[in-house]
Amino acid sequence: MHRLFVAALLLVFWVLLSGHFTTLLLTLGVISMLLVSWFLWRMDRVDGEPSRLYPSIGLVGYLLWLFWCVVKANVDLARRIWQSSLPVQPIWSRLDTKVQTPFEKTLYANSITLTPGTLTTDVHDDHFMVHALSQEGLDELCEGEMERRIRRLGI
Amino acid sequence: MSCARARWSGGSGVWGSNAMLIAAIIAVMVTMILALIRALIGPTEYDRMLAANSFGTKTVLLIALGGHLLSWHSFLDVALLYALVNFVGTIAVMRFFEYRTPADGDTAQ
Amino acid sequence: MSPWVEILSGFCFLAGGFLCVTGGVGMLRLPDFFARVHASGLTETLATPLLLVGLMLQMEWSLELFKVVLIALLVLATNPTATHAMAKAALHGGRRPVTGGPAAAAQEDTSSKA
Repeated sequence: MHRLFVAALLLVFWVLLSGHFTTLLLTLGVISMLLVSWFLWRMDRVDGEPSRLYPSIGLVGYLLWLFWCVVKANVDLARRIWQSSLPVQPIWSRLDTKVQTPFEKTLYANSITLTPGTLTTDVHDDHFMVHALSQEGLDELCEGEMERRIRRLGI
Repeated sequence: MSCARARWSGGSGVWGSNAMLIAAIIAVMVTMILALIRALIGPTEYDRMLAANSFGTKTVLLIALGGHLLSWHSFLDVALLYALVNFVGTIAVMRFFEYRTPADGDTAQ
Repeated sequence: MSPWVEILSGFCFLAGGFLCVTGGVGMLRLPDFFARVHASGLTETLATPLLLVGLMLQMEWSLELFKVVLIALLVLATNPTATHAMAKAALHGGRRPVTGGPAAAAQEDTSSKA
């Protein structure tokens, strides 16, 4: 089922990228789709960690919320940069996390990094090392709103 | 009225209808210059790499916006490929920097 | 194309271009490498989608639109990874973030732990 989903996704990807519907190009597309599916199958067998990320309502909602966070952080950082006094106080500190699975950790660390003003430099078992441009940015992370939302996704 | 519409809908007045697009292209180019300055003066190699990565992303934007302005054919494929190459290149160079020397950061971990 | 779409696209171009230049200025003004990473993120997380959305609003409805979406998604998805790789490489290379303000004392013991 998972393989069928990936294969269909790859085929749709090919068609959207090429935009041509001649027999030759469609045949090439099917061949590359089969090749990539085979590669993925081999890779999953090697590392034993098949990636199963399905688009869900929760994930889309989280991404929208994250985008709103990114917009707010962008405006904040742009204001700081244009002020002549340059009010940034870089801080590099430990952030305790409760996320468990590798996928949650990846999503959390990437979300932190994607938001301007905060940056994950290291990922450990129970904490991240986070570099932030201001104390406020770090405090917002410590409140754990983002982490709660990720854990609510349950992936 | 028809004249005003023609100006807004693009096609007739090249500068009038595309003023914002041209402004965006100029902004992207200014950013590229700023990134280049950082790449030239950057005190550490990481600063230079960061500037190069940023420059690459701006190139993607420049290809996409400029291609639309000049009505190039299939410029978006070029931009897409450039985005991929930029990412892979950054990761490759950074892996190289990371394991080039037995860094003292390794023993601290 | 209706005038409203044109105005919206012009707004996206202006805001995106402004953020872009802001990131470039930040890259020059901020004090050390780890701070400049944030400025680079500024040009990539919001300015890129804004400029590309502005571009999409100007284009005709075709498969090309999908490619613009793909470029935006690609940049957004790869940016954190590249940023993290650079920051981690800098840490391995022995660079430590310059920290300022009241948190400088707290930074001492966390860096010895890390």
